[in-house]
Amino acid sequence: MQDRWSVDRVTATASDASSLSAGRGLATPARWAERGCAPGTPESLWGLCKGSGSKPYQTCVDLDEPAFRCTCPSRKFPCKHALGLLFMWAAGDVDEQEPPDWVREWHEGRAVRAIKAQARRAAAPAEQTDAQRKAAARRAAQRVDRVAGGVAELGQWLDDQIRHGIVGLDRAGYHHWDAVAAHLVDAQAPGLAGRVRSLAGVASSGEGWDERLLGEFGMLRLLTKAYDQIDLLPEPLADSIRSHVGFTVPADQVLTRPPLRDTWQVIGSRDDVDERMTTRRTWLRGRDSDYPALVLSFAMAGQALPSDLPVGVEVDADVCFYPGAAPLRAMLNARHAPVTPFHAPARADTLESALSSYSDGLAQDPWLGLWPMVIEGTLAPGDPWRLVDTTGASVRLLTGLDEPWAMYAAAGGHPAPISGEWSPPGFRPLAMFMDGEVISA
Amino acid sequence: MTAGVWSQLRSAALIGAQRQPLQPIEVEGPTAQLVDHVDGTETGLLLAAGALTLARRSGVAAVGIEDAPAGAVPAARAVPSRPADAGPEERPLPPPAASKRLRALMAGGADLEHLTLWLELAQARGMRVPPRELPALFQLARVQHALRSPVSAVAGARGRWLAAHRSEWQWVIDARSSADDPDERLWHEGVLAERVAYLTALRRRDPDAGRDGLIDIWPTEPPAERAELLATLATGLSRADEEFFEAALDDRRKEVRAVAAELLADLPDSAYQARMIARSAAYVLPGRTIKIRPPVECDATMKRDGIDPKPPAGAGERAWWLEQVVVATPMHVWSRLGASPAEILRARVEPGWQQTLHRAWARAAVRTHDVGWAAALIDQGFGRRKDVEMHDMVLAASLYDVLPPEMAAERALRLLSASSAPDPTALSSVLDACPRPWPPALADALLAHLHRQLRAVAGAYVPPRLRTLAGTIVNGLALDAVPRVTALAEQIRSESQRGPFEEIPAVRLMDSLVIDISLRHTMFQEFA
Repeated sequence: MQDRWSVDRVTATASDASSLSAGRGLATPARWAERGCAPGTPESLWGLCKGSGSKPYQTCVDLDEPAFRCTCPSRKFPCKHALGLLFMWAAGDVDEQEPPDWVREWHEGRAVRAIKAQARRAAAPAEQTDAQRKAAARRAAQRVDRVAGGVAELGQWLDDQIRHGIVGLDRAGYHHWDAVAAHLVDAQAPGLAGRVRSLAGVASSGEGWDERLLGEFGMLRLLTKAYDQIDLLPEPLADSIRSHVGFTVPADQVLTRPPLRDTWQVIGSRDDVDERMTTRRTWLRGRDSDYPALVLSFAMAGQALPSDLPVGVEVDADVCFYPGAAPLRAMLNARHAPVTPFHAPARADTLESALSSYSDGLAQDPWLGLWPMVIEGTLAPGDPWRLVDTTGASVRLLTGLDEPWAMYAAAGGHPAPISGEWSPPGFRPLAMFMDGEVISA
Repeated sequence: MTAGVWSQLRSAALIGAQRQPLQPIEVEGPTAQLVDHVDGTETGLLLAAGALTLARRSGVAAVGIEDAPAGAVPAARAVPSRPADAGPEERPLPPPAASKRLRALMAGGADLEHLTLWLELAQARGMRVPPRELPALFQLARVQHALRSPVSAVAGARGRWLAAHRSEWQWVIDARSSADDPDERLWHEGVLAERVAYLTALRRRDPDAGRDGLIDIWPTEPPAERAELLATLATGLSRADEEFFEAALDDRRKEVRAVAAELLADLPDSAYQARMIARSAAYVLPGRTIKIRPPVECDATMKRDGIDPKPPAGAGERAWWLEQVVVATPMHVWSRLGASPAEILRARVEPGWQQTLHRAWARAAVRTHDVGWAAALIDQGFGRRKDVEMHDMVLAASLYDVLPPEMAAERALRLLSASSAPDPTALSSVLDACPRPWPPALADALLAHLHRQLRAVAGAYVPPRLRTLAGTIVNGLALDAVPRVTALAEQIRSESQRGPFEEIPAVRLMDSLVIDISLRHTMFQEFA
C-alpha cells in the first residue's frame, strides 16, 4: 500500500478552514465505529462515524485520485468525516483490512461511470452535425470580430491616458480601470480585462508608481499592436498572444499535442484565492530535459483542489504543453509510474543562469508572466529580504506579510535549493529543500 | 543613454500630450532601434516605453549583496551583522516520530497543553526543537508567556541565533543568560528586572559583595525600586546583613520597612527575633488553658518592627496586633506550650482567642515553611470548619503547599478513605501538592473515587468542578495507565445502559480523557 500521507498533505486537501478544524476534531478513534484501509485499485480508506442521529455515516476515500464520498449532508469535498479519517490514517491509527461491501460497491460504480464518460468523449467529435459545425464557425468568427473591436478600443484608451497625462492616476478610483475591464469582458477578451484590472494595483503601489505604470501601459500597447498584426506573426507567437488576450484552448485539444516524457519533479506550488475561486499553480521541472512546466488547477469556493502533486514528489509521465512561443503552461497526460518523493531537485542554478533563461523566455514571448526558478542560495532578512546565491549575487524577495522565517531557521545560514516564481518586482520563494524535507515559504 | 530617454518619456507621459506636444527623441546606439517609434504620437511614446521596459526586464542582473539598495529599515528590525552560522549544538534533534508529532501539533492549531508536554519531554531527553518549527513557536510564545521558559530551554544554538534577529524574540536569549555570568553593565544600566536578576546571581556567588553593592547605591536609589532590590537579599541571608536591615526599618517608605521586617524575621538569633520572642512570651502564657494577654497598645517599637496598627475590617485592634507578633515569632519558641504541635493545637485556649491564635500559627507555618506545624494544622482540620471564612480556606490550601509530596499523598489517601464524598476544595488543594505521577495506592483510590462520582451523575450533565477533577486525576496518572482509564471508560459506558451511538456526557468526558492520556503516552514513546 502507498505511504501514509503527511499531515501537511491532508491539511492541503481541505477546502476551507471550518471543515479542516472539524476534521481534526473527528480524528479520534472514539468517534468511529469502524475504520480500515486496503490496497488495490483504487487504494481505499473507509469508516463508520458516529453522528448525532442513530445511524452512523459511511465515509470512504479513494486514495489514488483522490476522491471522497460520505453519506453526511455536507456538500463539501472532502467533508469533515473524510478529513478525520485521513488524519487518523496519517497518524497510523487505521489498520489494513478487507473492505466492506458498501466500499466495494462505490468503487465499482465509479469505474463504470468513468468508462461511460470516456466512451462519450471519444464518440463526440464524429457526432457533430453539419448545422452544429456551421454554428460553431459562426460563433468563432463573431468572437474574433468582438475581440478585434475590444483590442482597438483598448489601444485608443491607452493613447488617451498619455494624451491626458498620467499624473494623478495613483489617486484614480477603481472605476477608472474597472470600466475598461468590463468592456473587454464584453468583447470576449478576458485576458486583457485581467491585465487592465491589475493596472489599478500598479498605480497605487507607492513610490515609483508612475514609471511602473508607464512600463505596463507600454507593454499593453505593444500587445494590442501585435494583435492587430497577428496574421503576420509566426504561429507560436500568435498562439501566445491569443492566450494573453484570453482565447482558451480546450483541455482535450492540449492532450492531443505531442507529449514530452520525463520524470517531472514538483518543485513549488502556490494558491491564489479570491471570492469566487482558488487557482493553484503547480510548477514542474523535467529531471532530464530541465524544462519547466506549469499546471493550473481551479476550484470554486467549497470545492477541494486535487492534492496528488504535492511539492517534493516526482512522476514519470507525459506532459503536453499548451500552444505558444515559450512553452510553459501544460497538462499531465499519461503517467507511467506512481508518484514518489525525491530527495532534492535535480538542478539548482545561479541567479545569473536562471535570469538568463528568463530572458530567453522573454525573447520568445515578451508578455511572459511568472517564471519558475530553483536557486542554490541563502535568504537574508531585511527590508526587503533578499535571496543570495552561491556567487554572492542577490535579488529582492517578494514576501508580503509572510516572511520566510521557517525557511531561514531551517537553513541556518547554509545554502540550499530554493524554488520560487520570478517576476519583474522580484523573487517569490515557494519551497526550500533540505535533507530530504520540503519547507514551504 | 537609456536612462535619459526613459526619463524624457516619463516626463512627457506625466504631463500629457495635450498640455505639451510630444517631441520626437533623437537617440544613438543600440537603444535607437527601440525608440524609433517616438514620432510625436501617443502610440509611439507607448510603444517605445514598452520596448524599453521589455529590454530592462530581460537585462535584469542580480547585484552583489553589499551593493544592494537598502530600503528604510524600521527600528524594530535592524538587520544585525551576525555570523551566518549558528555554531555547534549541544543537544541532538529528536527522533523522526517525535519531530513529526511536533509538526502535527503546530499544523493542528497548537493545543497548548500538548505542546507544553512535547517541549517538556524534549527537555527531559536533552533534545532540541527542529529548526523549521522555531519561528512559529517563538511567535506563539510571544503571546503565551507560559511557553517561553519551555521553548527557550530547547531552542538550541540555532534558536538563540535566530532569536537575535528580532527584538520581539529577545526573551529566548534573556531566559538563558540570567543563569550564566551576568554582565555588570546590567547593574548600572539595566531595567529593574535585569538589576534584580543580576543582584540575585551576585548574592549567590558572594553575599557580602551583593549587600555592599546595594548599600553603595542605596542613597541614590528611587524609593519604588528600593523595596524590590532589598527583597533580593533574601538569597544568601546571614547575620552580617543585620545592621543594614535594622537601618532599613527606619526607611521613609512603607514597602521598604515591610521588606526589612520580613528579612529580619527570617534571620536566626537576630535582635528582631529576640524582640518578637519577648513580646510573644508576654502575650501567650502556658497553662492547662493557654492564656492570652493581648498588647494594650501598638507602640513605636512595635510599629518600627513592622506591626501594622490599623486592623482589617471586622477584626479587633488587639487581636490584630497579637496575630502579627505571633506570625513574626520563630516557631521553635512554642515548644514551651506543649510537647508537639499536635498537642499544642489540641490544648484549650482562652475563650474567643482560639481562632486568632491558630490562624496566626498557620500563617507562621506558611511563612517559615514549617512542615511539622503545617501537617499538624491540616490534621487538626484547620480551615475546614463548616462556617470557615474565605481567607482561612485560602490559608489552609497554602498549608498543603508546605508539605513534602509524600506527606501530601498520605493525607490525600486519608481524605479519600475517610468519606465517600470528601470536600472537593480540600481534595483539589491536597492533590496540587501531591507528587506526579500519583503513587500506586493513591492512583487506585482516585480512580475509584472518580468512578463513584461519575456513576452518581448518571446520564445527566457533568458539573464543571467534576470535569476539572477528572482531568486532574487522569493527567496525574503514570503514562502506562492508559489501559486502566480505557477500562474505566468502558465500565461507565456499560453501566449507563444506553445504545452504542447515544451520547452520554460522562462517557464523552471519559472518552476525551482516554484520548488525551493515549496521546500523551504515544508522545512519550515517540521520544524513545
